Amino acid sequence: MVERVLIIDDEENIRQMIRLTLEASAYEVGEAEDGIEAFAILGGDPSWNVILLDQRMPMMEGTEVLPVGCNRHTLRLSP
Amino acid sequence: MNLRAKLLLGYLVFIAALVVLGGWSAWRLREMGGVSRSILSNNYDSVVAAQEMKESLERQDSAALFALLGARDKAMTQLREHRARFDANFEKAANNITEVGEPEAIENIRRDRDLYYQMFDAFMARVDKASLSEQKPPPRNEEASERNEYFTLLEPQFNKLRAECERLLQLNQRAMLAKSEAAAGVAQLWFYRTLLVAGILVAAGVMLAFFLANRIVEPLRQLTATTAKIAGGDLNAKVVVNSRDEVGVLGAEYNRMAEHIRQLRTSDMGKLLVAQQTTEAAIDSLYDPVIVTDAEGCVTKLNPAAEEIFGSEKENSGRHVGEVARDTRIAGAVAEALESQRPVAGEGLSAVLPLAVDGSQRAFRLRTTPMRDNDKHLVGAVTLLEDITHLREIDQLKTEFIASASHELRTPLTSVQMGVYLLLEGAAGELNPKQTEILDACREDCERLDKLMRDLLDLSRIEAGESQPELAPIQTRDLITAEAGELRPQVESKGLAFRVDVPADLPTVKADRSQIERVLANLVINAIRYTKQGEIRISAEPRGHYVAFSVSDTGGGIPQEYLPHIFDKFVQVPGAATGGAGLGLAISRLIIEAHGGQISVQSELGHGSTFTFTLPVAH
Repeated sequence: MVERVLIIDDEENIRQMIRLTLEASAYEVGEAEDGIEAFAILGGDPSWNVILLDQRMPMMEGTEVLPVGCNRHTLRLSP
Repeated sequence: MNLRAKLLLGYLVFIAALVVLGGWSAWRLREMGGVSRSILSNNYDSVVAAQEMKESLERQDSAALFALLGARDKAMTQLREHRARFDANFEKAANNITEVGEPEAIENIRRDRDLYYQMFDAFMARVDKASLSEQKPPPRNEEASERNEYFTLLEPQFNKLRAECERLLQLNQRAMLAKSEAAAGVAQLWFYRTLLVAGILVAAGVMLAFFLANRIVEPLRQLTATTAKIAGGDLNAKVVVNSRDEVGVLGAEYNRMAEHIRQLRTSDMGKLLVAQQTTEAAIDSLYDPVIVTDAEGCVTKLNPAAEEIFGSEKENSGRHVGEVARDTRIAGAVAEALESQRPVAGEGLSAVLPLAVDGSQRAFRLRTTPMRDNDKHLVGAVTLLEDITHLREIDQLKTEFIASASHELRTPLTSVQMGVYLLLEGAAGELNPKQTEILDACREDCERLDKLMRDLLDLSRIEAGESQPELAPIQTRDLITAEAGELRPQVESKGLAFRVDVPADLPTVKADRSQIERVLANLVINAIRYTKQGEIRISAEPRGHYVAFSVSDTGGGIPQEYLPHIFDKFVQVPGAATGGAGLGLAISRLIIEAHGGQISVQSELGHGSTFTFTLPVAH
């Protein structure tokens, strides 16, 4: 089964680099530009294994996104 | 006229007055003497002569009686003698006629004398005739006729003549008495006159003496009064001396001296005034508040900047600085500076005074300097409140800027770093050696840039107090050998020897392991950068309640002028192979000081440097 990683970062280049790096290691990668989009993607889908969450973002800080996702996912922080 | 002449003149007038008085008195006395003499010559001689005449007349009368009694020879002798005496005295009196009535008296005497002499001669002849017929007893009647002649003729004539002489005597005696009385009256009159003249002279003399004394003393008194005025500070006082004597000369010289003093004073005052105005203007022009206090700590001056905070100089002057400044640290600093007679300056955050100026809060740094005069006597203190609000604002701004800038810079750097990493991993296909070489260089500089960002971020965090060390007891030897193992490849890759001298029995220290590792890494990497050959050595030794860690190199050393600033931010010693940002030592110092230790450097140009830091021993 392929590991699914969701990247939440407002910087497109960062998302792209992380996606390329992970895809080189055969991960399935999803991207979200901010917390709102992330919630839309996550929805009720429990199949995401890892979420990479940026802390400093417009609209919604990483620390605000975190408690929402905490309910169903094991998360690792990355600045 | 000079003073000597004046005095001499005064004395001369006195002497002249005395001479006049003396001469006059002598003349008067002489005149009085003349009166006595005239009495003596005019009357006394006549009186004596009259007396003598009376006496000799009486003896002649006695001679007649002798003759009558038969002693003819004795009678003749006495008669001759006293007739001669009478005549001589009569001549004297006749030649000394002085009084009214005297000539008549003399004439009477002369006439009666001549008559008396005739009568006497006739009487004597009769007596002689009688004595010749002595043999026969003289008839009683003849005898009786001689006696009869004496009593009827001679004796009355004698009495008359004697009375005449008596009259002459009386006359002269009366005149003498009158003259004597007159002389006494005159003498009394002259006595009073002399007294009057002497009194007038004495009065005049006293007045003259007063006048002279005043003439001499008055200018001196003026001089004294003027001296008192000048001594009292009134340099415009002038001596008005019109006399041309020595006192006048003295007065003129005195005025010259006063003028000289006045000029000196004016020029000195002018200089002082300019100096004072310059000082005041300098103090007033300062933007920083300045409080000047006397040796007791009472305010003597506030510059306009200080007046804005503490109120006007006028209302605060003379009050104690503790009453004027609400913050006790100001009064404390003034008291300390006055007591220790050394400048007192606040350091660090605790020395920052927050004060309200025009409604806004500002931060000041306090600096108090004692003032001493030329004799080293304490005269007061100057307190400068350095307005560091701006500096602190800049510092704040800088910290915020660094934090935000380093984040903004790191984001694109991260993506560049990842891209380079992906390429080097072959994620975009195989690379030829040239491409690999280029990408390696890119990765190296990306890492350097990343480290710089991290350092800046750390520095701003530590400075803002956000990164307190998490202290725990650490085995010193373990700490050093572990970190040395990490660093060894970097040292040896530069061809340098790496020595670690750590005794086995070092005490444990209280430290944040990761932070101390960072400091050690910083020091070793610095040493590598500045050392071309030789060795790098890490050592440690106990030092009281501390353990001293040292990192030595055999590099070029640090120039003397850099040593005091080497732990400041962005200070770089020239000569590094590849430049850092000059933050490593600043961060190291902040970390060590946060641990309660100290960091220092010893360096000799050309012989290498030794950095030493201490950490407290864990108990």
